[in-house]
Amino acid sequence: MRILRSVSVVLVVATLSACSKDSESAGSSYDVKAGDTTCSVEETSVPAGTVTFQVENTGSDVTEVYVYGKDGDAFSKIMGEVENIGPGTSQDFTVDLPAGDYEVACEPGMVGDGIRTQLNVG
Amino acid sequence: MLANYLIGLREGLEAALVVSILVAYLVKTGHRDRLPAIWVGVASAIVLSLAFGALLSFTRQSMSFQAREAFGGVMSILAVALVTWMIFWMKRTARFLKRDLEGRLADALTVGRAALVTIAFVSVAREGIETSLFIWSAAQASSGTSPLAGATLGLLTATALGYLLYRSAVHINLATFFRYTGIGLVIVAAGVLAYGFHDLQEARWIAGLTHTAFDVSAQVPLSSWYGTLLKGALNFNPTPTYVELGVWATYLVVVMTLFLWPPKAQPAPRPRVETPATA
Repeated sequence: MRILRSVSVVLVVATLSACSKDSESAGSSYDVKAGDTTCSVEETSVPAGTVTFQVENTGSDVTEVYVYGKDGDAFSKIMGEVENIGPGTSQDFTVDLPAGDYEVACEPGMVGDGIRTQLNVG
Repeated sequence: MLANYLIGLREGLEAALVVSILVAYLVKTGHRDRLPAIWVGVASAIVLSLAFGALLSFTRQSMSFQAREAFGGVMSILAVALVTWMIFWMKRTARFLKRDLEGRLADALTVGRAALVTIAFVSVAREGIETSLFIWSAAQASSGTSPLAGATLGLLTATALGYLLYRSAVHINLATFFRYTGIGLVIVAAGVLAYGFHDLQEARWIAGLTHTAFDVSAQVPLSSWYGTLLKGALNFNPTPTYVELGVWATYLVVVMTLFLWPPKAQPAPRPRVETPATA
């Protein structure tokens, strides 16, 4: 029983500490509509800082959305992600984005490079 | 509806299989009295996951990317450690059984209640928050085809498959049960470990995220029933990185070899000498 209590305490502390960090800065919030062949982001020029994306799966397959930053020449550095979004459902995710160029990728079927949209943060 | 069903099935399958193996283990070794320990672990993992998922979902907060990956990575490694321990515990106790013995395993040789609670808890909680967020998002969906129904049916199917595994395990002899569940758990644990390393690569604690070893996603899509079962039960990744593949193969070869290696020969029992009763 001691083990169970310690594991629960660790989980509670870890999750709560992650939560409280994000609630400090309000930041900006944008819709992303992820379909089977489309990926439309409400705004493609956003202010730097904490950005929340409210992702709605408008397609028929499970999807995931990533925000990629630049890693050398390629946009392959994961800034934030949300996975396992079922069709007809919505989930949010929050990223801290310093000024620069990024790509938002919608990956229907949770595979591949995805459908990418440029995002300018400044 | 189908896609949400497959997500539910995939998310629930691994935990259902591990828990059903734990239940079969207790029933077959004559320790039904320890079953409540498993249910405590499962129930608290479900309740905690649903509670945190609801908190994050309804207050519209989210865990930072690093926090999610760290949590997932830690839980995966913990799950692998626990399952590996269980595998070798079973190997150790297997030698105290004769091939056809179905009797009660001695208390000291049976996995203790605290360990049972922990393994059951971690198996369910490992993907618990992610699954919970998916469930809450399905519950809040205003779409007509009811994603929540699909998701729930998927989870119920996973539970049913776990139950089927338990029923099939009940009829085989104990030594065979230990052997095959051990082999199965090694394969499951290898998949979890590879998945954990992928998370660490996404969080950039380990390099090589973009170095994909191969891509069979066209042959094994997640939207197919076989792709779902492979991912759900074995954490099969159709586009693994070299690190993932290396970790998976190394764990599999090393642990499988250690598990299947015959134990040290037992010393032959001293023959009992029948002495005639003396008057």
